[in-house]
Amino acid sequence: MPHRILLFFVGALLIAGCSGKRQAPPAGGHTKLLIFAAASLQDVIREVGQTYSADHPVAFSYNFAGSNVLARQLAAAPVADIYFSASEHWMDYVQQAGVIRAETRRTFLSNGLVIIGQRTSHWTVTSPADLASLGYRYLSLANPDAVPAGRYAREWLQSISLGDSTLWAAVQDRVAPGPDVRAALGLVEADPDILGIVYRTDAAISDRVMVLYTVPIDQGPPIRYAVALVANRPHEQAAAQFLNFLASPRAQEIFTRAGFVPLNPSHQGAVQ
Amino acid sequence: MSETTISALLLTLKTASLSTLIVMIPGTLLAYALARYAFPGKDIIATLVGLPLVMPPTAVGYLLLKLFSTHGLLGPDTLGFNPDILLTWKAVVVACSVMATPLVVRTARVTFEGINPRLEVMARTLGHGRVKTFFLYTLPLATRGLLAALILGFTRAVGEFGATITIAGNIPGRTQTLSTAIFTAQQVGRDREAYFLLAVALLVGFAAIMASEYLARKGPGYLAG
Repeated sequence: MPHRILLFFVGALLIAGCSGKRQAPPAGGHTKLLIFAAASLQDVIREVGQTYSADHPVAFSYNFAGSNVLARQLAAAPVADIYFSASEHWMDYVQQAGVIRAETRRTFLSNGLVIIGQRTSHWTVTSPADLASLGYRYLSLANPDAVPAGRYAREWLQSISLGDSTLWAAVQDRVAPGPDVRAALGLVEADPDILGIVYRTDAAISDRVMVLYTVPIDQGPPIRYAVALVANRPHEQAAAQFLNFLASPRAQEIFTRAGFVPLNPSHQGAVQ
Repeated sequence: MSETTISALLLTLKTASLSTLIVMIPGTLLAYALARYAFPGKDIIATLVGLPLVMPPTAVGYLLLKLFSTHGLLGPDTLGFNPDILLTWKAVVVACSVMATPLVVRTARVTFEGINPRLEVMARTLGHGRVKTFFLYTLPLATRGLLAALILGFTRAVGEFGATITIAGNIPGRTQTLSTAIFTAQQVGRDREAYFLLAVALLVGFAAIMASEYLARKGPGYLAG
């Protein structure tokens, strides 16, 4: 019996080993790039990546999480080729940690915030101040202490005065912080008693939530997505080419369709 | 220390103690039944109770989430009233109880199996009934093993993460526990807070292992009162 169990594990290892080989790049020689990207970019970066891979010998793998988590992972072990952050703050952090090639850094996208509720719920929000008076249970945000989506949401709530205090002070007790913006979205999808603030691009990918209020772009904080190449990586040239593709009309069309706002691509030079 | 850190510690102590209490009595009785009796479905029950030990905690959490959600088998729609479990401290207790059960039952079962059944037979020949024998002889003989089960169950509850964060969330001051607070402190970059919580976790773990080693060395404790 012990022999059989041992045999089972050896067999499992062999099978795993073989299937690993099968996944290796075909003879044509694909370059493998690892992308660390903010959770809100999950769907759109995949699409951009697929479009790019269709006519370039490049294959992507992805790590999506809160930009803060990615920044701290990169500072501990810079194993990615490209880092997409949902805020300048965490790009500054990795730049100070010496992880990225600063000259490749660019600010390339913007986004907007929306208040959302579950599709079957009965909430209506006509003005932001309703957040203080409505009887919902939790306000689901990405962690406002660190995750960009939550920081933007807090900045916006703090900018709205309510009596002699701010809207943030009024809702603070009901904030349920999530590890990233998609987790904040998931909480709203799960419970009709929970409202949330996420990017409008997140609300757009879910058919289980509805937008209750759209924060006017000129009233919300400026949302800035930054991207940069990670330093001392084996495929810097392939990564730089992909970075340039982000400014191409084809990529911009994908970003726009997903609800993002491409920022002045013409003002930013190509990466060498 | 910040207010939320302290509330995370207090909540952890509260929920871990409560879940240990909830699991201990039925867990002990079940363990005794598994150790002493043959009955139909015994293997199935033993397997079900052991499952949380080998399943990914997030999978257990997901199962519980589905069970307690609005239309779930234990949800408000089915029960006819709202037990208000998800995203409250009660969810932490549910998660910790389920995850601690296998450790408690297995440890208790081994303890009972280690007690010579002849001692019970002797007690019976002295005129004691089954129930009286269990409480007067078996239980006292099993004290040390059951204490070890209690400690293991408690520490498992203190450390529970995956199932807890799935059904209770990680809401500071409400459902945030020691382990989910460490997760947040680490992600957010509050290193001092993370170190403090780490030290607390080390202390609890150290004391628990020391205590269970001590209990194990003392053996089954035939003469212990």
